[in-house]
Amino acid sequence: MTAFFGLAGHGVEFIRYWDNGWKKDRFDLDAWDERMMNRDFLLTGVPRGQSHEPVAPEHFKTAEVRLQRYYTPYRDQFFSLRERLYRGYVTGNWDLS
Amino acid sequence: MVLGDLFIGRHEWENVDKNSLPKDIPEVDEVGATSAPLLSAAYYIGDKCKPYNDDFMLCKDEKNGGTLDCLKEGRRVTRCAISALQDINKHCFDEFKLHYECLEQENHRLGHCRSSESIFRKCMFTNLKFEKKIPGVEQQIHLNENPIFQGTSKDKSNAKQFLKAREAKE
Repeated sequence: MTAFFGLAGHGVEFIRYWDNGWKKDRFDLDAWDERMMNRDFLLTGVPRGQSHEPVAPEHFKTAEVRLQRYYTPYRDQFFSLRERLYRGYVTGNWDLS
Repeated sequence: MVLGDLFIGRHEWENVDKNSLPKDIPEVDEVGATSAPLLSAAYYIGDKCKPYNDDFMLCKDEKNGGTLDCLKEGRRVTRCAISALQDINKHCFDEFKLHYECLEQENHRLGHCRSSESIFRKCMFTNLKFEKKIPGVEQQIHLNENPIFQGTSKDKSNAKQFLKAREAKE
Protein backbone atom coordinates (compact mmCIF):
# COMPACT_ATOMS: atom_id res chain seq x y z
CA MET A 1 0.00 0.00 0.00
CA THR A 2 2.84 2.35 0.89
CA ALA A 3 4.46 1.61 -2.43
CA PHE A 4 1.29 2.54 -4.30
CA PHE A 5 0.98 5.82 -2.43
CA GLY A 6 4.59 6.55 -3.29
CA LEU A 7 4.08 5.67 -6.92
CA ALA A 8 1.01 7.90 -7.16
CA GLY A 9 2.69 10.85 -5.49
CA HIS A 10 5.94 10.73 -7.42
CA GLY A 11 4.07 9.93 -10.62
CA VAL A 12 1.93 13.05 -10.34
CA GLU A 13 5.00 15.06 -9.41
CA PHE A 14 6.85 13.79 -12.46
CA ILE A 15 3.94 14.44 -14.82
CA ARG A 16 3.53 17.99 -13.53
CA TYR A 17 7.26 18.57 -13.87
CA TRP A 18 7.16 17.34 -17.46
CA ASP A 19 4.04 19.34 -18.24
CA ASN A 20 5.71 22.51 -17.02
CA GLY A 21 8.49 22.05 -19.56
CA TRP A 22 10.89 20.30 -17.11
CA LYS A 23 10.41 22.96 -14.51
CA LYS A 24 9.03 22.84 -11.00
CA ASP A 25 5.51 24.07 -10.33
CA ARG A 26 4.89 27.69 -9.56
CA PHE A 27 2.84 28.17 -6.42
CA ASP A 28 1.67 30.90 -4.07
CA LEU A 29 0.99 33.19 -7.01
CA ASP A 30 -0.48 36.64 -6.61
CA ALA A 31 -2.09 38.86 -9.23
CA TRP A 32 1.29 40.23 -10.30
CA ASP A 33 2.69 36.75 -10.88
CA GLU A 34 -0.36 35.74 -12.90
CA ARG A 35 -0.06 38.83 -15.00
CA MET A 36 3.64 38.31 -15.61
CA MET A 37 3.01 34.69 -16.57
CA ASN A 38 0.39 35.83 -19.10
CA ARG A 39 2.92 38.30 -20.47
CA ASP A 40 5.52 35.52 -20.69
CA PHE A 41 3.06 33.46 -22.66
CA LEU A 42 2.45 36.28 -25.13
CA LEU A 43 6.20 36.74 -25.55
CA THR A 44 7.29 33.15 -25.93
CA GLY A 45 4.19 31.35 -27.12
CA VAL A 46 4.57 28.46 -24.68
CA PRO A 47 3.44 28.24 -21.08
CA ARG A 48 6.38 28.61 -18.67
CA GLY A 49 8.64 29.77 -21.47
CA GLN A 50 11.38 32.29 -20.68
CA SER A 51 13.31 34.59 -22.95
CA HIS A 52 16.23 36.93 -22.31
CA GLU A 53 15.84 39.00 -25.47
CA PRO A 54 15.99 42.70 -24.61
CA VAL A 55 13.67 43.75 -27.45
CA ALA A 56 10.28 42.14 -27.87
CA PRO A 57 9.12 40.85 -31.27
CA GLU A 58 6.99 43.24 -33.30
CA HIS A 59 3.72 41.40 -32.76
CA PHE A 60 4.03 41.77 -29.00
CA LYS A 61 3.23 45.49 -29.25
CA THR A 62 -0.41 44.80 -30.06
CA ALA A 63 -0.73 41.45 -28.35
CA GLU A 64 -3.55 41.78 -25.89
CA VAL A 65 -5.92 38.86 -25.77
CA ARG A 66 -8.67 38.70 -23.23
CA LEU A 67 -10.99 35.79 -22.98
CA GLN A 68 -14.57 36.97 -22.56
CA ARG A 69 -17.76 35.13 -21.84
CA TYR A 70 -21.25 35.95 -20.72
CA TYR A 71 -22.12 35.64 -17.08
CA THR A 72 -24.27 32.69 -16.22
CA PRO A 73 -24.98 31.15 -12.86
CA TYR A 74 -25.23 27.74 -14.52
CA ARG A 75 -21.70 27.53 -15.96
CA ASP A 76 -20.59 23.95 -16.62
CA GLN A 77 -23.61 22.49 -14.96
CA PHE A 78 -25.62 21.11 -17.89
CA PHE A 79 -24.12 18.39 -19.97
CA SER A 80 -26.86 16.20 -21.28
CA LEU A 81 -29.19 16.72 -24.20
CA ARG A 82 -32.05 15.90 -21.91
CA GLU A 83 -31.07 18.79 -19.66
CA ARG A 84 -31.05 21.20 -22.59
CA LEU A 85 -34.36 19.90 -23.83
CA TYR A 86 -35.80 20.38 -20.39
CA ARG A 87 -34.56 23.98 -20.27
CA GLY A 88 -35.99 24.63 -23.71
CA TYR A 89 -32.74 25.64 -25.37
CA VAL A 90 -33.26 23.29 -28.29
CA THR A 91 -36.67 24.48 -29.35
CA GLY A 92 -36.15 28.17 -28.65
CA ASN A 93 -34.95 30.45 -31.44
CA TRP A 94 -32.18 32.19 -29.53
CA ASP A 95 -29.52 34.28 -31.21
CA LEU A 96 -26.66 34.67 -28.78
CA SER A 97 -24.08 36.08 -31.16
CA MET B 1 -25.56 26.43 -35.66
CA VAL B 2 -24.44 23.68 -33.38
CA LEU B 3 -26.20 22.85 -30.20
CA GLY B 4 -23.30 24.12 -28.12
CA ASP B 5 -23.65 27.63 -29.53
CA LEU B 6 -27.07 27.91 -27.97
CA PHE B 7 -25.68 27.40 -24.53
CA ILE B 8 -24.34 30.68 -23.22
CA GLY B 9 -22.19 29.08 -20.56
CA ARG B 10 -19.95 27.69 -23.30
CA HIS B 11 -20.00 30.76 -25.49
CA GLU B 12 -16.50 32.22 -25.35
CA TRP B 13 -14.64 34.50 -27.70
CA GLU B 14 -11.37 36.37 -27.88
CA ASN B 15 -11.51 40.11 -27.64
CA VAL B 16 -8.56 41.49 -29.61
CA ASP B 17 -8.03 45.22 -29.76
CA LYS B 18 -7.53 46.17 -33.41
CA ASN B 19 -7.13 49.90 -32.84
CA SER B 20 -3.57 51.10 -33.31
CA LEU B 21 -1.92 54.09 -31.68
CA PRO B 22 -2.38 57.48 -33.37
CA LYS B 23 0.40 58.62 -35.71
CA ASP B 24 1.66 61.43 -33.51
CA ILE B 25 2.84 59.04 -30.81
CA PRO B 26 6.29 57.73 -31.75
CA GLU B 27 7.04 54.02 -31.78
CA VAL B 28 9.09 52.40 -29.05
CA ASP B 29 10.43 48.87 -28.77
CA GLU B 30 8.91 46.86 -25.96
CA VAL B 31 10.98 45.01 -23.38
CA GLY B 32 11.20 41.42 -24.54
CA ALA B 33 12.59 39.76 -21.43
CA THR B 34 10.19 37.58 -19.50
CA SER B 35 9.56 37.47 -15.77
CA ALA B 36 12.54 35.47 -14.50
CA PRO B 37 15.23 37.39 -16.44
CA LEU B 38 13.56 40.65 -15.44
CA LEU B 39 13.62 39.67 -11.79
CA SER B 40 17.24 38.65 -12.09
CA ALA B 41 18.16 41.94 -13.76
CA ALA B 42 15.86 44.05 -11.59
CA TYR B 43 18.51 45.53 -9.29
CA TYR B 44 20.73 46.52 -12.18
CA ILE B 45 17.84 48.05 -14.09
CA GLY B 46 16.76 49.89 -10.95
CA ASP B 47 20.27 51.20 -10.42
CA LYS B 48 20.96 52.22 -13.98
CA CYS B 49 17.53 53.67 -14.77
CA LYS B 50 16.88 55.39 -11.47
CA PRO B 51 16.64 58.94 -12.90
CA TYR B 52 14.24 57.88 -15.67
CA ASN B 53 12.09 55.81 -13.33
CA ASP B 54 11.91 58.61 -10.77
CA ASP B 55 11.04 61.05 -13.50
CA PHE B 56 8.25 58.80 -14.69
CA MET B 57 6.81 58.36 -11.21
CA LEU B 58 7.02 62.11 -10.59
CA CYS B 59 5.14 62.72 -13.81
CA LYS B 60 2.47 60.20 -12.76
CA ASP B 61 2.19 61.98 -9.44
CA GLU B 62 1.91 65.43 -10.94
CA LYS B 63 -0.51 64.53 -13.71
CA ASN B 64 -2.77 62.57 -11.37
CA GLY B 65 -1.73 59.24 -12.84
CA GLY B 66 -2.24 60.49 -16.38
CA THR B 67 -1.63 57.76 -18.92
CA LEU B 68 -1.44 59.98 -21.99
CA ASP B 69 0.53 62.73 -20.29
CA CYS B 70 3.49 60.55 -19.33
CA LEU B 71 4.06 58.67 -22.58
CA LYS B 72 7.35 60.45 -23.22
CA GLU B 73 8.73 59.54 -19.79
CA GLY B 74 7.40 56.01 -20.19
CA ARG B 75 9.24 55.57 -23.47
CA ARG B 76 12.44 56.65 -21.75
CA VAL B 77 11.90 54.06 -19.02
CA THR B 78 11.35 51.34 -21.62
CA ARG B 79 14.42 52.28 -23.64
CA CYS B 80 16.57 52.42 -20.53
CA ALA B 81 15.42 48.96 -19.39
CA ILE B 82 16.20 47.58 -22.84
CA SER B 83 19.68 49.07 -22.78
CA ALA B 84 20.32 47.63 -19.30
CA LEU B 85 19.28 44.18 -20.51
CA GLN B 86 21.52 44.54 -23.54
CA ASP B 87 24.43 45.38 -21.22
CA ILE B 88 23.83 42.26 -19.15
CA ASN B 89 23.45 40.06 -22.22
CA LYS B 90 26.67 41.42 -23.63
CA HIS B 91 28.88 41.13 -20.56
CA CYS B 92 27.43 38.50 -18.21
CA PHE B 93 25.23 36.34 -20.38
CA ASP B 94 26.16 32.91 -18.98
CA GLU B 95 25.93 33.99 -15.35
CA PHE B 96 22.64 35.76 -16.07
CA LYS B 97 21.25 32.64 -17.62
CA LEU B 98 22.42 30.48 -14.73
CA HIS B 99 20.66 32.76 -12.27
CA TYR B 100 17.37 33.20 -14.06
CA GLU B 101 17.07 29.51 -14.82
CA CYS B 102 17.53 28.82 -11.13
CA LEU B 103 14.84 31.41 -10.33
CA GLU B 104 12.49 29.76 -12.78
CA GLN B 105 13.02 26.39 -11.09
CA GLU B 106 12.69 27.79 -7.58
CA ASN B 107 9.37 29.64 -7.92
CA HIS B 108 11.18 32.98 -8.41
CA ARG B 109 12.43 33.05 -4.84
CA LEU B 110 15.67 34.98 -4.69
CA GLY B 111 16.61 33.40 -1.38
CA HIS B 112 16.81 29.95 -2.96
CA CYS B 113 19.29 30.96 -5.65
CA ARG B 114 22.04 32.67 -3.68
CA SER B 115 24.88 30.54 -5.05
CA SER B 116 24.20 31.36 -8.67
CA GLU B 117 23.34 34.90 -7.68
CA SER B 118 26.76 35.40 -6.11
CA ILE B 119 28.40 34.27 -9.36
CA PHE B 120 26.17 36.67 -11.28
CA ARG B 121 26.93 39.51 -8.88
CA LYS B 122 30.66 38.91 -9.17
CA CYS B 123 30.45 39.10 -12.94
CA MET B 124 28.36 42.26 -12.79
CA PHE B 125 30.89 43.86 -10.48
CA THR B 126 33.91 43.04 -12.61
CA ASN B 127 32.35 43.92 -15.95
CA LEU B 128 29.75 46.59 -15.29
CA LYS B 129 30.98 47.99 -11.96
CA PHE B 130 27.60 47.31 -10.43
CA GLU B 131 27.11 46.31 -6.85
CA LYS B 132 23.71 45.04 -5.77
CA LYS B 133 22.27 47.13 -2.98
CA ILE B 134 18.80 46.65 -1.57
CA PRO B 135 17.50 50.16 -0.93
CA GLY B 136 16.05 51.20 2.39
CA VAL B 137 17.29 48.35 4.56
CA GLU B 138 20.19 48.00 6.95
CA GLN B 139 21.04 44.33 6.44
CA GLN B 140 21.85 43.35 2.88
CA ILE B 141 20.33 39.89 2.94
CA HIS B 142 22.17 38.60 -0.14
CA LEU B 143 25.50 39.07 1.66
CA ASN B 144 24.52 36.73 4.49
CA GLU B 145 26.90 33.79 4.26
CA ASN B 146 24.85 31.32 6.26
CA PRO B 147 21.12 31.99 6.07
CA ILE B 148 18.64 29.70 7.81
CA PHE B 149 16.54 28.88 4.74
CA GLN B 150 18.70 28.07 1.75
CA GLY B 151 16.32 26.13 -0.41
CA THR B 152 17.40 22.99 -2.21
CA SER B 153 20.97 21.99 -2.87
CA LYS B 154 20.27 21.97 -6.59
CA ASP B 155 21.30 25.60 -6.92
CA LYS B 156 24.60 24.98 -5.17
CA SER B 157 25.47 22.00 -7.31
CA ASN B 158 24.50 23.90 -10.46
CA ALA B 159 26.72 26.81 -9.44
CA LYS B 160 29.60 24.47 -8.67
CA GLN B 161 29.17 22.74 -12.02
CA PHE B 162 29.12 26.10 -13.77
CA LEU B 163 32.37 27.18 -12.12
CA LYS B 164 34.02 23.86 -12.95
CA ALA B 165 32.95 24.08 -16.58
CA ARG B 166 34.30 27.60 -16.82
CA GLU B 167 37.62 26.57 -15.28
CA ALA B 168 37.89 23.71 -17.74
CA LYS B 169 37.31 26.10 -20.62
CA GLU B 170 40.07 28.47 -19.52
